[in-house]
Amino acid sequence: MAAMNAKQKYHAMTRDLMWDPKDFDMKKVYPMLEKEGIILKDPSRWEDPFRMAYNQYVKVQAEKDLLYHAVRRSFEANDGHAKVIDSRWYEGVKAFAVAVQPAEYAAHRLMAYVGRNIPIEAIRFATFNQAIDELRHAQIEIKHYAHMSREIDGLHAYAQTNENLWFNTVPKSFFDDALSSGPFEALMAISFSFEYVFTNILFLPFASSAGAVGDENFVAVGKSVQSDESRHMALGMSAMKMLLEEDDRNVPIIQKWLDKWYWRAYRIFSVISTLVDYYPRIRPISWKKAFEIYVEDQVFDGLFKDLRKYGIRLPLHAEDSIKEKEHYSHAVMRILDHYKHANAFRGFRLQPDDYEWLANEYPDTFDHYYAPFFRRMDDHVLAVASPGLPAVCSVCQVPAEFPDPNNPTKMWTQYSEYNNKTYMTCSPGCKHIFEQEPHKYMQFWWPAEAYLSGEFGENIPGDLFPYFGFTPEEANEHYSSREHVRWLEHRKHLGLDRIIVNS
Amino acid sequence: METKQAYVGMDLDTSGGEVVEAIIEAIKQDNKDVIVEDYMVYKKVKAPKQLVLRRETVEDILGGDWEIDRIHIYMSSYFGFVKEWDEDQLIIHWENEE
Repeated sequence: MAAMNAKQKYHAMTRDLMWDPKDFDMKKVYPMLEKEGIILKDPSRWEDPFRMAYNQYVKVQAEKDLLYHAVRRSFEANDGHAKVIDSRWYEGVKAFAVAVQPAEYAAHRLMAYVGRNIPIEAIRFATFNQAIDELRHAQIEIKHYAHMSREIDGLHAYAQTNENLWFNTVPKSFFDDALSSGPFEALMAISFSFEYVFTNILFLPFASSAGAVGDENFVAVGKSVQSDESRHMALGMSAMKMLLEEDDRNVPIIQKWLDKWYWRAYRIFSVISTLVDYYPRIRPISWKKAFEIYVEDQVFDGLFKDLRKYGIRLPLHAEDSIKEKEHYSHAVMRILDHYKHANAFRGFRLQPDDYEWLANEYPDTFDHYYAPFFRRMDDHVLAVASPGLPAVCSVCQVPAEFPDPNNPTKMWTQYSEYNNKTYMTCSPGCKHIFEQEPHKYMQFWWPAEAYLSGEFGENIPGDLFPYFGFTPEEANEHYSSREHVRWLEHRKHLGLDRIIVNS
Repeated sequence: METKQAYVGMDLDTSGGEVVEAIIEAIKQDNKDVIVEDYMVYKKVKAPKQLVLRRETVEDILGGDWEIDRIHIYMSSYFGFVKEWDEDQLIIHWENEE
């Protein structure tokens, strides 16, 4: 028998593996299949462009893991943590830790859910691979934090912090929203909006920043994780194309999901804007430029032009996100500084070179609207702290403190009435999402209500910290923290403090 | 926004060293108007509307055998639709003819 080529091999390994149920009603075996109005005529036409079979998957993934762990061991053995250019970087890595790892784990469950409910072998194989990928990501990230927590604060009761920290409701609400959607919507939410449009900014510019500040371990985490994303993007892109081509009646449904999930994914990435613009002391790229490259050029001017022939237009609030790029990271850093005394990752006093870089990159907004806020911390790190708990957006759960990009001294906060109650959202994008499914979002977890119901304990703020899994000393401002002192001592021990660079 | 050129391309992990350099060189040889942008830990290589990567060109540059599936290790991201992917070539493109 002649050897099969890649295409034939892929077909032989992924097709005709399942059967159509004969003794049971197809609708009972796949109860979600028709619930969303999606019409499938001949889904067997669909195939994964990457055409991977299991043996090849295992081989490639094993190589990626070996590469990553080699870098990690070397970093850990050689005091890599002490050699980064500025320890505040690790506050950003903590933000990544509490936000991204739970998202990876949730994505693995979500992929399993999609594969269970969509009876197309090629989609099943791709979602199966992705489910394992996401678990791999969650685990290498946890391994990374386990070592870091010997050096840094905030992550030693990781599981508890992950469960209870108010900030974590942002990624959780996103994934819970997707997991409680139908399987096709879940696929568009994660594989398209999250993976194709936004993960690039998470893993590429942030990995570049890691390289620039000298955190080789994080570079390796970022790149190892991102190397799976090409496959995840291929799943999202080809699944979307298939749904659009199967039947015209799918087009308005897909458009509605793109409108919702573009904005939902954009908002979950709000904190990432600070990881690009603020936490690294050296930044290879700004959020604004990264957004222009990855979203405006590659998605709006690339992909969406191609989708026009199906009758698909840009997501409803695309224009709002373009306007907001001048404000996004500053507004989010301001939010983080308001609540840094009760968060697992700290804020920090901006340094003279930070003010300079931010003003150069954002000449129209930073000095005018944001620098005065950050300067208030020059004398006292808690000068900008907000008392109490933040009022969060009913949809994205980020504190509703975003400025209106058309009028940056005013808040963008929106209000909707539902069942005789007023619901607050952070922006027109989230308001639109709320009003499409108010019954879904009215069930959200409100930190203020949780506080009043005693979920946080009797004595606030004291009881908050055991509930969150860290102590007040692990929160607040970085350069005045015990963690910074420890890092300086570590450097002294290595003799790094004696290095003088001649200019 | 309408006048912008629509590019397709890929982000390649520079820890792939000489292999990644050979992939970039092959793309430059086999496509017109290729742009390479350096982001330190990765390089973005892009071309207007269509980009082809040929195994043989990479092999010529490396001076040895190379399997195109090895791209899975290095391709951190891509943009465009995958039009073809077999033993000999990978083609990424946008479909619209504008």
